[in-house]
Amino acid sequence: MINLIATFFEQIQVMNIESLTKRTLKAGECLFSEGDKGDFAYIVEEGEMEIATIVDGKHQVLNVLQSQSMFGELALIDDHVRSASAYAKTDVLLTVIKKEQIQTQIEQGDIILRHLLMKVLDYFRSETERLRLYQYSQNLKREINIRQEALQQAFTEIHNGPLQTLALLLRQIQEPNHPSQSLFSSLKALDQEIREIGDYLTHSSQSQNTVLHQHQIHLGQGTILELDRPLHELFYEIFTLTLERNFPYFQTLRVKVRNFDSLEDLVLEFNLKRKLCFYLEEAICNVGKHAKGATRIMAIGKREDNGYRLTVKDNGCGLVSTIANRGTRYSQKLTNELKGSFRRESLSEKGTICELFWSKSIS
Amino acid sequence: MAQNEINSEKLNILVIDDHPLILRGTIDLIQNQYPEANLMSAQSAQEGLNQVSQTNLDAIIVDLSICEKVGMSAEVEIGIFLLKQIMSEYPALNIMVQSSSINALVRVKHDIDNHEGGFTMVDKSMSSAEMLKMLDWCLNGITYTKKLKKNLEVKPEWLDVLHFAFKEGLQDKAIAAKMYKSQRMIRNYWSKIQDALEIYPEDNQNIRALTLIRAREEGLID
Repeated sequence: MINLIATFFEQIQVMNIESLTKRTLKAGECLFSEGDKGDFAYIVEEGEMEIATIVDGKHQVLNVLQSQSMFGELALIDDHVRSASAYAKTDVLLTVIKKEQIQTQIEQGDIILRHLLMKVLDYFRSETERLRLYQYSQNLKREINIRQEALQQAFTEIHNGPLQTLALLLRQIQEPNHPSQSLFSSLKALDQEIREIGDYLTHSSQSQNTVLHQHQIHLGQGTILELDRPLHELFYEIFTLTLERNFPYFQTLRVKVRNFDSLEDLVLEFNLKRKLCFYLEEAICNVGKHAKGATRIMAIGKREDNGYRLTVKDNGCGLVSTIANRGTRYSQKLTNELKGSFRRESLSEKGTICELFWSKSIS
Repeated sequence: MAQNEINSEKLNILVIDDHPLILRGTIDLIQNQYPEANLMSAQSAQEGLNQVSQTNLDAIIVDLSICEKVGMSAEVEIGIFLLKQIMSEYPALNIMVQSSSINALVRVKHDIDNHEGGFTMVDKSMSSAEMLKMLDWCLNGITYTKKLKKNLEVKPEWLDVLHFAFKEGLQDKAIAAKMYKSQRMIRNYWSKIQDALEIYPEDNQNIRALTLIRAREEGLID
């Protein structure tokens, strides 16, 4: 079929080019726009033409045509409007082929060939339309996902940062004789944390085309880490930095044990890395908030035969509330995404364990 | 641990530094201390890596701010990358970092924790006596990262070693058997624990006894 069409156009090309009308365009000039009614086809004699369309509100170049290329022929043959726009990329000299000239050629041609040609054109048009719709819906979906992620990320950051400090404050003011100095410094920290998140989000939304800082993670205590570093290195850093935060039960910790095996072959995607970092930060924060009397914290990332196990353990008072807070819900969501398993429970000896396991098949 | 424990005749030491003057100075100092040692030099990360792969080395001395290839500009990033690569490919090699940007090593602290050979560091501004001491320690498999210390963070294996030694009274051989590790590995853990507790073989002290005391103080053993 394609061959038949090619033969047909070759016939047109051998028409006496010299007798046809010429047209010149300056670089940047528009010859016709998508949706225009088409009366002419063109052959590029000199210069370059750019064929472009609008996908999802954005200018997208489909093709750049050089000397001896023909374009615009579709609109002539089956009376449809232009399916793309044409611009002069450089100064251009074009040969203009009129609709009648092509129509004569078609009518003089073989009847079977003519029907086949129409059939193929129909098919071509409907496929192009389908592709366009598909691209549009894909882009829309992607955008919605990005926004969803950004919201989620913003909330996680608020949760791991200022909300933690706020919880601390709420506890402080309930204490009889709470020292106003520590209240003041907590409030100041809170102020700072909220501002930092604000700056960060504004900065993110200004950055090109994305609402997210794809390659960074913003920790609750203000540090920004680059996500292109190996994940286990980020874990080490998060461990150290988070333990420097001002949570009540970090004060009594004496022994800080940690070891994180490399897991670079398991998790490569920035988005997943970010979530795992937040998970670890959250799990460590929980020790500071809830593990009353803890003297020891242990955070272990262990590479196992069939996956990776990330455990945070303390020897504090164990779990008091059984109500799933947001942090745990976040862990659950991440667990589902990883198709892994999660538990946060009191230990029989003493303390709490928070453990996430996922098998390597997922990543 | 005195230098005379080391047989300087067989020592192969590589110095990587892109400043020819410092390179020369360092080599002269070491040669003076270990007259029989075989000293090699490299002026770029690539050259250094080549030499490490070709010779059976007892120690390398590496600057952090080095160039990838001779003629290119020197960057701390490159030294850190080289160090990570060497530690991962030659886990038992003794390493001494001699640099004016020692603090950059914070980023590879956990790699140093896992490194099985000696690992010491010295600032370029320190005296040559200090430098030679760090080299001696490094050749003896000692870890010295005191300058990077912020918090006491430990690895679970180190706690196990302390437990077996001080709670169950086991010797290294028995600890090695319990932990399914080599004795050399257990010695390595001791050196890491002592580094974490800032115990170094400086004076005539009983290192193990001191370790017990400091570990108790820090709560590493109950």
